[in-house]
Amino acid sequence: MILDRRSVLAGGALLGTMLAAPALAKGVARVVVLGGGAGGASAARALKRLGGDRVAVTLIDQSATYTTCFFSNWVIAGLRSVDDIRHGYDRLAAEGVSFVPARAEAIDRDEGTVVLSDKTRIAYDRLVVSPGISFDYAGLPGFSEAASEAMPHAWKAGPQTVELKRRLDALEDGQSILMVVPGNPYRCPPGPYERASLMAHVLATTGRKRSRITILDAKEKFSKQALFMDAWERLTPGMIEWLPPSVHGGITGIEEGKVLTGLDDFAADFTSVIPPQKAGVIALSAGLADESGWCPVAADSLRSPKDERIFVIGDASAAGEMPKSATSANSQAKLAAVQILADLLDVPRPAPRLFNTCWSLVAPGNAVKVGALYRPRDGKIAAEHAFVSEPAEPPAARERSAVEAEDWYRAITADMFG
Amino acid sequence: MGWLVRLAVAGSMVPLGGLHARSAEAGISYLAETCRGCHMVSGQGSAMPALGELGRERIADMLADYRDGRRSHPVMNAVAADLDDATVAALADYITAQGKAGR
Repeated sequence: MILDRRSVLAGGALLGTMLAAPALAKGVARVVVLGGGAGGASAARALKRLGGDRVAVTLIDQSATYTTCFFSNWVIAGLRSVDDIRHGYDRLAAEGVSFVPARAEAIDRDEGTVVLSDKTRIAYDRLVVSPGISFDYAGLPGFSEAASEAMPHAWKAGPQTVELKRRLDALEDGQSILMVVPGNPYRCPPGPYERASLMAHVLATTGRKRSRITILDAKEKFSKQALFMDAWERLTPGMIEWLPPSVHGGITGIEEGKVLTGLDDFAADFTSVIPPQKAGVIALSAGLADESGWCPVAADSLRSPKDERIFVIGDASAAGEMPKSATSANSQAKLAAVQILADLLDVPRPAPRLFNTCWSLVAPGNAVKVGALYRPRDGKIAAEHAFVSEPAEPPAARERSAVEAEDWYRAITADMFG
Repeated sequence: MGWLVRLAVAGSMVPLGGLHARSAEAGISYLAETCRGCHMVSGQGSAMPALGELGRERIADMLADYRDGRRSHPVMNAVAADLDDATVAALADYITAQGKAGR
């Protein structure tokens, strides 16, 4: 059944019945997907492509458009517009995926339904939970959602991305930027350092070479560290200073626009604080996370050990050695899709093969990458054939990686949104 | 009807000899899905080619070359690792058929 947006909006209390009844009557398997990002949107389309008419796929997201967090640093650097990274779900409906633009408030695991904010219930035989991240403001004393307006994280793309770019563009030569970066795990491990690289590039190429970026990090080392530090040294010497806890003594809180550490208080003309993170709120309230704040999953299926009808993918999952990236989420979506179809339609279960590649710009036209093949080993998702770019690569290799990044963006967004 | 479901129906008609083939083919449609995270089926792609337009022989040759290290690209060397010849051939067939069907 294809449910268009008008009937969804008009449906009200009847909606749950409307969605559930035809599926039961026809013996169609009902799969509901929560969250329309790199995990959820990819899963919905893969389920429909592979399952055809025998699976009714419903994708729920609170917004009718999705702004990708990946490539949002390209927007901050002026290499893309925010419109370029905003996508709609229109083509999913044409392919037979029911898109429900509504806020999912709860998962009733006993009943097997998703409860929307208007109390409508949507029944599922299997549920894909892909809500991304939520911010753990309590993990940083003195910080809050309100405080993040003044110190934007832009770690969910949208208005804060635009605001961060506005602040960068307004900075005068000699003024300073302070970035606070969380400990592992968090969304997009190389993202903060790509952002620092690109902000320094913008400043250096617009007459603001006397400006400085200080990174207060909550960890002692970071993704592609040698590659980033080599690029900072060569491309924008002296502009970026990275301070780990062994230097600043630990980040203890935020107070009156200052960042407090064990060593000193830090302040700047523009401060961006990326808070610690947890799984998306609905995954937490449904009891799918453990004490880490992330959702454990079976290494061979991504099924929740807490509920056999639920699969958790993307940033919200604790997927062994896989980083929280769009490519990881997309790859996990395919594995969850075939596992769900095997559960419901008696088709075979293929051997898992998961992938990740993260491309990062150290400057426009100059990208580095890291990645691996991932397979279950001893009950854990483990990396094999891992690779990372070399600091001494020729410029042509970096240019080619930057073109790959653009091709990747085009392909993954086509896979998500059609 | 979806690719996997078609296999399920076909499989139910040939329950004995079909079982192994069915399992292998489900693996192929899954692997083909994983390509879409980086590759378009059709259209543009200057560093990462659109797979539906490469042709089955070229896909099979390139996958085998990446697997065996005759071609070097870190991402594709990892992607092709340990794929056996039958899987490479079936994957090339499947992707090419998808390209022709405009999927």
